[in-house]
Amino acid sequence: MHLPAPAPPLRGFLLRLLSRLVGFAPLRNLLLGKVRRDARIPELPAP
Amino acid sequence: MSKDGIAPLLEAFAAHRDDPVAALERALQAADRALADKALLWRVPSARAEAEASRARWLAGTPRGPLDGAPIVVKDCIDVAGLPTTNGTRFLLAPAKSDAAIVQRLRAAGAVIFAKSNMHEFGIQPTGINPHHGTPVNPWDATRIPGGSSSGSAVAVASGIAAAAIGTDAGGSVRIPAALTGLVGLKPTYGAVPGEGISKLTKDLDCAGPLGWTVDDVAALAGAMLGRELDAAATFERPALLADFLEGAEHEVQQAVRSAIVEVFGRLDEVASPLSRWAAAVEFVVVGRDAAELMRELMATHAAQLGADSRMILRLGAGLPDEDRRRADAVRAAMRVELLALLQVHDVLFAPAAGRLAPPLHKGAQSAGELDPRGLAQLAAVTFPANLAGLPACTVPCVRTGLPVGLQIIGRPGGEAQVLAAARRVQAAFPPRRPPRWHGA
Repeated sequence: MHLPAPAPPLRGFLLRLLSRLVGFAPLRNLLLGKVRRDARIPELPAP
Repeated sequence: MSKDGIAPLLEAFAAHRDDPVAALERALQAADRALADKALLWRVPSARAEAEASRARWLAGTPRGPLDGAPIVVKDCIDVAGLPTTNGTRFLLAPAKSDAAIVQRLRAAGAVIFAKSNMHEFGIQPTGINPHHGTPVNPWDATRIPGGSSSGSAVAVASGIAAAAIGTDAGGSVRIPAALTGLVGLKPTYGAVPGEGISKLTKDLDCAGPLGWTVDDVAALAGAMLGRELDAAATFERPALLADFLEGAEHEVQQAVRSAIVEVFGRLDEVASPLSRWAAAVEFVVVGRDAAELMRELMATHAAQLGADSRMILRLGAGLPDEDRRRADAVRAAMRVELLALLQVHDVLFAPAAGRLAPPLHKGAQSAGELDPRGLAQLAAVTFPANLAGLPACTVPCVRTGLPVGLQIIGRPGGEAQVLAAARRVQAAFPPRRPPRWHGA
């Protein structure tokens, strides 16, 4: 199975903080870009 | 075969050695002893009257069938009239106006629904961690997660509180907690079980399913939920191993699954579903987009009250571009075709039910949840394909010592009886085991 790239898990204070910060679009887009790349979403075969 | 679960209870009811009211009392006492384990959120006030009615039927020799008087619990995303459906949150407290369709069906079959069980908030992750209500304790090892999202349902059964339970599964949420706590769990064919009165995580993945000690108990519950009896004499031919589903799984899981299959079925054909390798990426997109859309109103009004992991996933999911969704939908459709082609040749397909043994429960996760896409995918990538393709799939324990490991069995649409027939073969070789933490009588 294709698994996401290794990345440190988010927990506790850091997760709480980031989950609030991603309410701001620029920060959300930044983190979303990383999560998409890690999860290999852009590599999904094209239709 | 098992001293726990529904069938032994009903045998005792039939012989008048036990009765549904006494069974309910024992379940409630076990729930009292297990309060710290956080498996249950609400008790159902009408349970006593239902147990008394069931006792009267048994005394009159007119029981309704193989569930009559069995004390069971349902996940707290399923409506039970008069009680909240929190969906794992701390703020959805309005009482449901009516019973979910499956609750009506289970009650019509005589089941005594006595409590509602804890869960991962919105069922959005397969860990079962809940920072609002506490995380249900895995009775095999309290330092590990119970699996989710139907965590409370699994723990209630595995630790001896309930005879069986109902969960829901949009990506493995019945099969994963069942696998990690040593139970049998079934996700029926998508759409075969009515979804009215059940809170949804996605538009077309969620499916209610039973968890129990034995395949026969799960078959009895599934029969009531599906509204058709499952043929206990069903047979299956040409089973095969989905070998690529083992890639990326922990070594112990791979070894347990392979050796159980060889022991029970001998050497099998090994097949591959290359598109299923993309299951984690596809599921992330589908769940992210659907959940963000379905919860948009809640996010507007209650974002601050959500668990940090839910809030993060919903915010990120809302930002996924349309192109991601188009690609995910296309891969999903092709994955279904690929799996159905394999199921034209093979009646059932085997795979692990979870790619990991129960992972550790970290302290920081208990208070705020956890976001670990790789760990999540390693655990659940093997369960996603059956949801994405709408296929029935069950898990059945496949080890005799150590932490539980589940063998997943996937079948054709409508093929629940064949899936469970294969599971019966496995359970005959790997009987149910009680965990060290036990609250039952």
